[in-house]
Amino acid sequence: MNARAAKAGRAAVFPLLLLGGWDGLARAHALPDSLSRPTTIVAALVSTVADGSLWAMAGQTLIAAAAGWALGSLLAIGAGIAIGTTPVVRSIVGPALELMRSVPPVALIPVALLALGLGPKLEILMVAFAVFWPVVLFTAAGVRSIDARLLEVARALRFGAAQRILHFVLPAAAATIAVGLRVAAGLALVVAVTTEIIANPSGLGYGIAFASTALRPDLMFADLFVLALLGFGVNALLVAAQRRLFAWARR
Amino acid sequence: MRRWYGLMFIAALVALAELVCARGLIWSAIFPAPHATLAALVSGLAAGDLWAPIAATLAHMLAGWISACALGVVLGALVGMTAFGRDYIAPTLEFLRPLPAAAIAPIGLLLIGRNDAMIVAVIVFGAVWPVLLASVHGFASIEPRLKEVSRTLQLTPVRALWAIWIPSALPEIIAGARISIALALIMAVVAEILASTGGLGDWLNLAERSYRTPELYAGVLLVGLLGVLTNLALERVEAYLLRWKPPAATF
Amino acid sequence: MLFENVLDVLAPAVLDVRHVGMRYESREVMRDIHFALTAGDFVSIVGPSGCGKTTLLRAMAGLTEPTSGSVRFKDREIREPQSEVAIVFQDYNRALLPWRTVRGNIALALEARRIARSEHPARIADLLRRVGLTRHADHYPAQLSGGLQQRVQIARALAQEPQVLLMDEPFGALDAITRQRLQDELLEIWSATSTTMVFITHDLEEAIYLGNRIIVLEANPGRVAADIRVDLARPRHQLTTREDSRFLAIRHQLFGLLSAE
Repeated sequence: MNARAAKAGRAAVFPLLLLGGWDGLARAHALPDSLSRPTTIVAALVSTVADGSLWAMAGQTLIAAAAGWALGSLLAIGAGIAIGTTPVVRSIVGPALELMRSVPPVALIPVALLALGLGPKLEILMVAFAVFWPVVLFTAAGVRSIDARLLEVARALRFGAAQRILHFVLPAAAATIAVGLRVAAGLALVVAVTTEIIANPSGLGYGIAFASTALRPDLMFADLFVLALLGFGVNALLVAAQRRLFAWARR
Repeated sequence: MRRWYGLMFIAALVALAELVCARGLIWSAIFPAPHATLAALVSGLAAGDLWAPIAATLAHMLAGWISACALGVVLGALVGMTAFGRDYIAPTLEFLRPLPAAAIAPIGLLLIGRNDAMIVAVIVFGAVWPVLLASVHGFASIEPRLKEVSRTLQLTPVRALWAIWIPSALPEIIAGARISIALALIMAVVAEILASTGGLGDWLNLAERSYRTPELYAGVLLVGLLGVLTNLALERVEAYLLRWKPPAATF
Repeated sequence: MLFENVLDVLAPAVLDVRHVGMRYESREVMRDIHFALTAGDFVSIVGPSGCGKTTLLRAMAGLTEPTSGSVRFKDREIREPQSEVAIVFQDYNRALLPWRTVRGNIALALEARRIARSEHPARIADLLRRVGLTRHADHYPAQLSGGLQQRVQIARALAQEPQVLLMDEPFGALDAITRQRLQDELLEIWSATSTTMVFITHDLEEAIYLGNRIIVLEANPGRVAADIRVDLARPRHQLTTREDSRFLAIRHQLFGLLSAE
């Protein structure tokens, strides 16, 4: 316990020095005013927490990210199983997928904006699109790495295709799929925020963009801090969940 | 035969899109026929309108990526090679890493303004993480025996750095740099959309606002192409720099 | 005391291990190990696992400092690696730079000594010839067999032009045939130079076959159990030497010492 406390203490030194230096320099007017000051930022943070606007923004971002993540992952797991189990499907759609994967999702935001207009649909579909690729890759890889003998057993036991997938393929590939889902969750948050900054006026991303144009650096940094916390939290949560659920699969 | 399935599938998709558009089954203001996109691409390249955005995006992305690599490797070496860096600096980096990088763009806009410096700064912030964390790990995981070899040969610190530390971390650095260049392209598009001072991101944004959909799709295609080409180029560089590596076991 | 001085005059000690002891926290690894190496000697060190052979060698190389006593090279105490003392590790696959060719790995030692680049090709060619690697000069370590990789490490150590060459079970991971070939090559290299050799092994026959002198260590804590002279004719021969009655006698003696516990 002491060692852990010491470790946390050492980790806190650098950020505290940074913030202290920032505050000191800002007080001495050695920094541009547009950089604000840590103490002002904390005040802005407290006020957004108090008036509830922070919760609303964080909620919008998280819900859009989660919905897009769920949708994209569901489609991707289906596609990944089809690709992983059937070589013909793999050779037919493989190159097309490879081609589409190389388009950065951000470049599609203007396209999606044109097709869907503003709103949660735009954000959710952008997230789903971005999330699809890592999940499809991990799922296909996980399914392909299943021992062929296991599938022969399933066939010998006369399980139907659906049951083979449910009882053999999915459990065997679960650990690999989980890695894909974790990577995708981090990505979902990133894409949701990016969409909010570029196009969709909602959530933390828009909050930051709005604070920037409204010349409110204190608010902007406060939102940014919350966003960093959110990203860190989501990641830590998923790493912990993966460790717990798939401790047996650790290599 | 199998290898042609994929190309045939892509051709079939394009033909289908062509047919659907010709029959007026889909609104061409949102989904232009493939031949219209191709025509926009060819005329844009022939008339020269597209070269400036391509050059701008390429310049932004390379400037940002190269700076990110330089910063990432130097910082990564300092953190990875010293216990001080691992204890005091690495935790802060871990906290900042999951921060959606696009969120830094509004900050750049406010602090730096609408110009190339802001675009490059945003790219550096977004693209530095993979190469930074990869080089932290690369430098931290050097073979201990090689440190002893360096001691028994009494190599000077500079020579040890060049002969042992850097080559030993190089495989991970390159792997990180390859992810970084993909992010550099994404961040370039995001920052260009927000700055609207030129580049393919700006091109996409303007095309979307004025409903010039063929131009919009031509831009998306070019962004994808840029991603594919830079990835291929780096694959070559990697194969050359790591030619000493025994071929990876394939399974 | 007087006796030691007389020996010093006759054959000056290059490496002097003086009452070396080593503990890790509460565990005593070595106790009062004391011997001196004369120039041009070939000393084998044998002992059961846990007798601190490798720790002793690392102390002699200046890679670890003993908790008590000292190791001296000529008239100075070894606390850090010395350019006159080279070491060959057992794990050649970790001790070579995988990103450098055979030539490049040998060049590393020349670079460390700041030898002019123009002299490298001739020196490297000579070293390659001595260890029989001429054909493999431009191969990367991963392309070579274990025996060839260990030759690279030996060549790199020789490129240091050391006065003492320390070897930690260098042939331990090699197959029997390769091992015998390398033993003979090592003896040839030794007879062509005046390098003092210290050779750690757990193979008793190898220790006798190579050495002029065998230091036997016992375990828990590691200390010197015996110091045996080997008066076998040189050049040695894989068949006749090993069939020599004196060879067999020493083998019996060593076997007795090491299985006594």
